[in-house]
Amino acid sequence: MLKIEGLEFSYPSEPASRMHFDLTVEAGEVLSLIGPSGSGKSTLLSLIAGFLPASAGDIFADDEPLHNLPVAERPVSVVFQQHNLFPHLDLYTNVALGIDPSLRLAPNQIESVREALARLGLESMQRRKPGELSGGQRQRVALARVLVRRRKILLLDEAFAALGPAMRAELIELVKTLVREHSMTALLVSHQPGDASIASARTAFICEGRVAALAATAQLFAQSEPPQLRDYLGSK
Amino acid sequence: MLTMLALLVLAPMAGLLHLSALPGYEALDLRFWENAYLRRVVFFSLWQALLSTLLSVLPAILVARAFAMLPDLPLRRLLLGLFALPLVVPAVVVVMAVVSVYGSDGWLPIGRSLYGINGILLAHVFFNLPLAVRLLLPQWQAVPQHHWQLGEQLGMNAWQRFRFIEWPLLRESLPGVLLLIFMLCLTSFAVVLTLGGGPRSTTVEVAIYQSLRFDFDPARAVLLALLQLGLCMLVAMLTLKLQRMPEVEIAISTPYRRREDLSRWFNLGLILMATLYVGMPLLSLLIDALDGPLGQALGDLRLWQALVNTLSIGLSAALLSVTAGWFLLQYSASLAREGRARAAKLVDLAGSTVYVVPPLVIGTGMFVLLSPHVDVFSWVYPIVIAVNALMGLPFVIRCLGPAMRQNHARYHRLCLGLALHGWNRFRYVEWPSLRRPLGLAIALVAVLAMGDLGVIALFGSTHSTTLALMIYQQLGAYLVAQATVTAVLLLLLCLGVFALLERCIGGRPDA
Repeated sequence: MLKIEGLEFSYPSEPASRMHFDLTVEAGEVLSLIGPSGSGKSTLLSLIAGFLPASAGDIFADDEPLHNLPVAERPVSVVFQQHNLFPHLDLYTNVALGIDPSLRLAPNQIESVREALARLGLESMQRRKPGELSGGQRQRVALARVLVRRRKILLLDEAFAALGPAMRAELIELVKTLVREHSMTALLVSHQPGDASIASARTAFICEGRVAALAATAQLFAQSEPPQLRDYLGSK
Repeated sequence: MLTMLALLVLAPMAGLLHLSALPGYEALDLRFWENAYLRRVVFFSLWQALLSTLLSVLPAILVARAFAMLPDLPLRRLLLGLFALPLVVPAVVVVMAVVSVYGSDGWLPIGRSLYGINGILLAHVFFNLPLAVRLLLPQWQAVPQHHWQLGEQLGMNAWQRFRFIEWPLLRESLPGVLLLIFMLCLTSFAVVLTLGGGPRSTTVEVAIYQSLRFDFDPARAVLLALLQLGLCMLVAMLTLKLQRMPEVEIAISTPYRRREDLSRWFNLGLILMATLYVGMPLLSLLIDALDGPLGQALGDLRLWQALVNTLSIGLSAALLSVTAGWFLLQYSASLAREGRARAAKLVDLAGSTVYVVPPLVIGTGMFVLLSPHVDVFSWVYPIVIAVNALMGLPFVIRCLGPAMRQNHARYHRLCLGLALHGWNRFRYVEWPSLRRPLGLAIALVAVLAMGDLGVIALFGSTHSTTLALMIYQQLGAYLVAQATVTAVLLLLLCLGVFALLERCIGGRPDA
């Protein structure tokens, strides 16, 4: 479970626009975050991952406080829209880095890398470089690394935005399966309301640095409040 | 334009070859390996270039990395601006600055061993370490933000970050940087001439000068020129093969914010040392000049005459170089338009690689060609201007080329459709987007020509002199105090001209 309480942050260049987040996400859940550009969705993910320092508030993962932990010690994996892989390393090494960046792996760890790649349908491509793969395949490799890391929280920052609809749907289903199997807690940022419909039972609408609405996905898309949600969805 | 370029470069060589074939001159003997003196000169040229390169680039990697790891460093832009200074400081001024710090009366005296390989290395590192830092720093800035974040998340230590994130980008541009600096050190003239200290520390470039000026042995000069040409062509070809040369920027954009903990002080220390290495000689020179015979030096009319000559040469060479470069690039663009991409590239290459031919050789060759027809000594300045314009061409092409190609790609068809050509096209379409690189190109070539000691050293005299030559003459007469004042005057002139030209032609940076 992920719990965010009174988390605050403002960019140095915009001290007046302070962000404030309160959110709870259950284990095994994929919560979608939608909202206009610049609303704070990616910022929230960066705060959870530790890439940005919060000015106030707490973050808990299964009641263990995260907010004072350095990035490497947080039980978090992040998948970005791009630049998830190191282009000069083959797939096996990219995934193996998720276990130990020194790449000194025990036999069982080597096996877990192979299993993760096989789970994602990439076992025959271990020695290929990311440049030889399609966008969807590259994101699968990133998910394979998520698997071997075995972290409780998964953050997907527009991870599938560059993919076509069919591939997006396929990978979202894959994420849901992995989250369920490993009791992870996932947050999915997307500009596509359709992704939220596929991925999540609940969706949060982020606006002006706050969770402006949080409801069951279908209910959220049907509701007319707040007005910013209506404008974002283009509904009448 | 290409024909004229080829003529300017090849004709002087032909002139020297012809001269060496005349009776009374030693015949040209290409078997340089059988001559102990030539072997020593070639070996020393390569050796000092190699050492200078390693001593410049290896520390530059650490300093560039230090800058990249400290994006919030106070006065960062100022420090990086200081690192741009050696680009525009004349070599002979750097020599004075190095002597000022490391000479027997300096802050860190190393005594008589300053004259020789030590002094040459000190001066070359002064020039090339900041250049290498500015060339390498963008590599860290090219690292995607997410790679840094991934590295943090995966718990990479500093060595692992360097191995997996930084080195892959660095290794692509490193060979190009190494070769560029090697070439600059190989063809270095003023530094070796003034700090070499004698026959043991003679490079091919200085040996050419000695052959022409003192021994008047054109055959040996030609042989040395051919050797130099061969070495430079080899380096140029290697550079092209390994080409991933980052552009030299004047404005460095703000890099990605990373948090660096324990090594912060180490990085600060590196930057401080590099700053002291670059700043101290210039500061020392300034202090020595203020302490020196200012009144006497500034009251010398010859100084002001030299200043006027310096300025005239600089501005004329810049104008000529930029005009030639402009037409070359336009020609290259028209070839590309016709689908002759390879020919277009060759034209760019011709302009870029003209510096492989020693300017001394071109100058002397011109002298030899013109002397039967005109009073050559009254043509000193046109020859110096022409040679410096030629030497400035690679900088013009590097500054203007990318911007012109982009402008052409974006607007050529639109201009054709609107029948916009000639002056109107230049005024409304090309000038607004090209004025900044144009301003930079003119400013760079002007200060390079103003500080040049090559060709003017061959033909100049006390009656027709520039500030750079005057410094050399004053050093030769052991008038070090006067030379210091002259050096500071040249430095201030170069900085002032650079800033003025860049601003007046290039406009404001945020415009």
